[in-house]
Amino acid sequence: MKKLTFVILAILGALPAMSQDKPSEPAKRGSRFYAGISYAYMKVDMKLSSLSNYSDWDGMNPETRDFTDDQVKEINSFIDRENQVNNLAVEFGMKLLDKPGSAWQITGTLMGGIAMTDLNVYNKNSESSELHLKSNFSKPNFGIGFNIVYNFNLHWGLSLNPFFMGTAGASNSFEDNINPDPVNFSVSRTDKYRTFYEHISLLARYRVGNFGFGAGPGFYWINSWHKYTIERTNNTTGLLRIDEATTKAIPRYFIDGTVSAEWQIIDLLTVYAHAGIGMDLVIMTGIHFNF
Amino acid sequence: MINKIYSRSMRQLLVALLIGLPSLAKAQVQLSPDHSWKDGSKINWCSDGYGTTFCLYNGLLYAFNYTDNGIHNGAYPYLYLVNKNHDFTDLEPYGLGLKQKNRIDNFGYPGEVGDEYYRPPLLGPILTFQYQGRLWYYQVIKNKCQDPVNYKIADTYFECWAKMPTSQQQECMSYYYPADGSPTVIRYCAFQVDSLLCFISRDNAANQWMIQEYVAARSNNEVVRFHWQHNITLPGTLNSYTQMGGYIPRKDSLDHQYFILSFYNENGDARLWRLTPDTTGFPRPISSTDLGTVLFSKPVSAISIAPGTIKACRTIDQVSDKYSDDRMVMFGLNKNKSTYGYNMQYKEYYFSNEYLITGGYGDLDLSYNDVPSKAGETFQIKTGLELKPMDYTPALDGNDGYQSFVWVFYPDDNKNFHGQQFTSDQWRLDPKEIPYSDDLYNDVAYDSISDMWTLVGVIEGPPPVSVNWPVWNVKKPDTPVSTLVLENTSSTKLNVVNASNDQWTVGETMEFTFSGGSKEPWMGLMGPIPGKKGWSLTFSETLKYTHAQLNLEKSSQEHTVTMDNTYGLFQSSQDSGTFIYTVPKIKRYRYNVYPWWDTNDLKYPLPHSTQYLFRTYGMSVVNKLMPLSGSPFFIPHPNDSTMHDWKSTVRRIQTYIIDHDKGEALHLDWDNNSIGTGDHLTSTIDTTSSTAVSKTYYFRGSATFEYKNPSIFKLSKATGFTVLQGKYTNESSVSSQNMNAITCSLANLRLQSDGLKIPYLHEGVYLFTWDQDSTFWVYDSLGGSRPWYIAYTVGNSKKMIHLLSPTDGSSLGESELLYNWEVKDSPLADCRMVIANSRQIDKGTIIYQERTDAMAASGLPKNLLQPGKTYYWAVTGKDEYGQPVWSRTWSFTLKKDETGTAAGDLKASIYPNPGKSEEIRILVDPSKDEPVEITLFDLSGRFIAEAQSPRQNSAQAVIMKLPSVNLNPGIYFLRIRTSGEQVIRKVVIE
Repeated sequence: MKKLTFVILAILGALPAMSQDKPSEPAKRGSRFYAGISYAYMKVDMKLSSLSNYSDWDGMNPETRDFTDDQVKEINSFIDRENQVNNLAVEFGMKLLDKPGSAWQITGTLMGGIAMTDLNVYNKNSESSELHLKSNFSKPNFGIGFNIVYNFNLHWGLSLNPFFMGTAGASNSFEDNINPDPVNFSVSRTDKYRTFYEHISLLARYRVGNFGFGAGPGFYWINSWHKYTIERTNNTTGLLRIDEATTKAIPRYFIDGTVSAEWQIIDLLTVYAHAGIGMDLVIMTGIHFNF
Repeated sequence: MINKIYSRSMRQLLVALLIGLPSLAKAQVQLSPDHSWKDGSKINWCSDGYGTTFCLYNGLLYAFNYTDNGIHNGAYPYLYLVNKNHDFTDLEPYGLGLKQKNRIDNFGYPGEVGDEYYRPPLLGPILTFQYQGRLWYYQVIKNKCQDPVNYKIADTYFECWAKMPTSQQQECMSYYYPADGSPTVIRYCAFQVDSLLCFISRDNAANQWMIQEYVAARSNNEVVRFHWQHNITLPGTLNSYTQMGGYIPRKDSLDHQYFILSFYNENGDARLWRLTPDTTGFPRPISSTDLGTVLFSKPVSAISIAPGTIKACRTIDQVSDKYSDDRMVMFGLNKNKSTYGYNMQYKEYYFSNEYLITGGYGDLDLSYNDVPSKAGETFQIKTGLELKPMDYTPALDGNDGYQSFVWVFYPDDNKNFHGQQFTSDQWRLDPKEIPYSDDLYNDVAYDSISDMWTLVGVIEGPPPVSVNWPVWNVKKPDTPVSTLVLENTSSTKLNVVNASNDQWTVGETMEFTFSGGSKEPWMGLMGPIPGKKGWSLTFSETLKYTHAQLNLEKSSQEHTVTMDNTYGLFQSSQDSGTFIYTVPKIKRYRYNVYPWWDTNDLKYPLPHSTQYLFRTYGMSVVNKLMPLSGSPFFIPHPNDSTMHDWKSTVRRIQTYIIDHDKGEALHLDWDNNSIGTGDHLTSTIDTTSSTAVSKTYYFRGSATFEYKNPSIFKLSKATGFTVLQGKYTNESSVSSQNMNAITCSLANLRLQSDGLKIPYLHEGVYLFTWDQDSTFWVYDSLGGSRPWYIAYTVGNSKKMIHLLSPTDGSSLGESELLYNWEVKDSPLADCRMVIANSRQIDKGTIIYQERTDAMAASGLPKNLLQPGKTYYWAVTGKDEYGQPVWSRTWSFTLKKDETGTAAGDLKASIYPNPGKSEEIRILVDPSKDEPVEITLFDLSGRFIAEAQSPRQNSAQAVIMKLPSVNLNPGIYFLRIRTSGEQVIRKVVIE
């Protein structure tokens, strides 16, 4: 993965030299808006930034315990938290700046859809999964992105792509190997989560015909918040035992190499794909109807 | 030999299969503890090696924690009680000694108490164990003092021992022994076997586990003397097990003790081992069996083992193999840490014919905030047992059993104490089986049953009289000649208080080895139990409940028996004295240990857990006639016409009476043609001291022949009742109260012609009690019994002393304290007036005596008598035979309101008052030789009459009569005056 990042950076470094001193000319001007659908997949290796536990067993001595930074650091040393998000969205975009003769183009995109989140907590010491939380592919997600392009000539340009996406909801599938269901208890588990993904990439663009390609470095940040609650009701006494873990996680890495490709099949249709490739992986693809 | 080896190998293989295979077949079951606890007192779990441990002792769960005092001032073991009130509150410091310190700092090693900041590290875990019935603490620490030569910490270690006191008010008995160099042998647990203390130790240099036996040095009771060492030969791979997870003492069906030991190592492996000491041979053979690897589902970093079942929030329906109720549980701390800490696992085992079979296993569901962590660099979990007193049934008042709880303790990230509690076995009686025996008085039905009786009183029959029975029976049919009455009225009762201790058997064989009576009841278990192979069952898992019961609950029952008998002298009883016994009524309660799920039907008692409680629930009285000719009476001819054998001159008791100045308790007189007198102890005599009595009854039995035995000694079997052979020791203490409830009477005597062989009779009645007359020789012949004893002596002469003033039971001021009496017939020799602080006058109770030939005395030293207190006085002298003659004993109470008043020297006493005018006497003791003038006034102050005593030659008491005037019944005042003083007295005329 490091090699790949190196290659991408090298390409980016060569792009200015390859550019020609011509004003850029978008392939097809005149379509100010577009709409479409997209699919995104994100798989990120996370680490805890904070952990707070709340326990109340049988109504006695409820207690909240906040882990110290050192304790969190120790946990991160042997725990892998892999966060995956799949989302399917509809997009609406418009060109915010697209003056004829100008080398600048700015496009904004709004998106909204459904998402599925999958969190797997893996213990490297015991070589076993501690916790696996998964939601249905039905949780809302939304996003907003911009594409700021400067065209050197007809073929070459630079684009800056800030992008923000968020999803929230509750998990539907629980596989807890730390706190399995004890005998004679009715156990209910909930996991409420929020995940925010921020990514910005600077790509060198090359267009030829109806095709466009881009490559460059990407920087990203993720805030993942989970409140995982176990409620065990004693079937005999009716007493309730509650444990609640509130976690905040961030990615272990923040840089990747981003590549993009798009193909304007016809004037009205464009397909595209973006991928952030590094220690983590983000892939986004979609099709736009231009109008 | 080959067969033997083969057999042993096969057995080990079988055991391994029994342990290992089921766990492979069973699915994991996750359990949740019944209760979680976190100590809020912020006491830090010892991080210095293995300096924290827990132990159950006499029903209380103790925690020992080796740590500093919070400001790094050395390090000491600190004591706490865990969940003392069963309400999950914080650790409670357990203070000892005058200062109630909860730390042990009197081992005596150099630098133990000081300002050093150096905290002596531990070498190996701290240990607690029970030895000789007491709780002991053991630690090995490095010397904390600097070497004076090179100023380095000296390379020496100290073995520190502490024996916990029996009372919290006392200090530990502590001491230490130095060990040069760093010892390579680390001790991991200790327990008692016979009189030996056995350590399970590991020689890290030799990579070898061993048993080290020590004995107590009899000179100072310190456990120091090395006795023998056994190497435990483990399979080679087992030597890699470097730690112990505790042990469980057990006994098999033959009552042979054995131990389950648990080992583990840093690789996360655990293993069980069975150790069976034998009792024969020297050195002691110790057989051991490898019970195989403990297959936890995850590697463990520490284990701990505990006896009993665990509920873990399950219902009865969720328990498999209910009949497998004899269980133990092992807890394992996961080697690998999870997000929340180090989680735990459990593994249950069943005992089936002493084979160990794997039960359920799985993870423990712990709260996120209750997850164990390391204490320093070590992993530690410790088990402990808690016993909660329970009132299971109404069959016994108060708590009648215990609910036990298994605890597993550990530190969290902040070294705070955490614990998970599991409901475990119950120890309780079966209310459906409570036989009782209320017929233990029946010495005809039950051979030797009188061995269980307690002799509380001996009487020499009713007052003796020499009687011509054919004549008496004709003239006074069915009339007793004399009577002795032990009364039971609302005001006077003769009570015998009998406090009986509960008696417990060790097992089902009715082997009574200890009771609540002795100061250290468990001490009775120290030696080999008769009939066994010599192994002490002191620390059997079952007996922990009994120890708790004896320590925490009342184990002595007090019953009061009121004596209510009239003993009349008839022809049939002429030759007999009476032994008065109290006879217990006893119930038997069967106790067993039951698993937690057996709460209603009590269908699953643990094997070998049966114990019986024998409790006295009542008392009855048995009178046993004994010939007067025998011991201890020695009256060969009670009805002799001269009553020679009753004469004080020949009775053996007379020597004791004379030597101890013992006064008569009662006095009886009769002269021909007069009505015989009676006498009654009119003042309370409380004998508050009690005497301990131990009575042993041997009951017989066999499998083939049914002996006649009380029902409490019969066991219910499927084939009917049977009885086992054994002995029952009834330990009790007896005290008698209100001995004033004794009346003797000769009132039925009037005419000699009614059939009396004697013309007159003067008898002294003597009361001997253990607290007053412990040297009385009769007690030597009663086999340890300490009854009160009523004896009679017949006087040789007719001389009698009549007390006059102060009258019996009177309350008077110091100025009225004049003593007056009269002697019938001729004067007595060596006449003495005595004042005692007890009705039982003897050398021990006499506080003042005055030798006087006069018939009055007053010369008491001032402040001799305390106001408000009752005193007893009597007069004695010697008759012409040199034998003592005693008056009756009267009491008086010095008025409190006279306290501090300046009483004059003029003393006057009026008696009887109230009385008839012609009988009233005025006793006056003037301070000078001068006449005494008395003047009588009525209630309105009107003068009635006066009189004057004649002048005397010396200042001595004078007795005057009231002036001879007709006085109507009523209240009058009498002025008694000398030249310098006068007193006013009230006179009541009847």
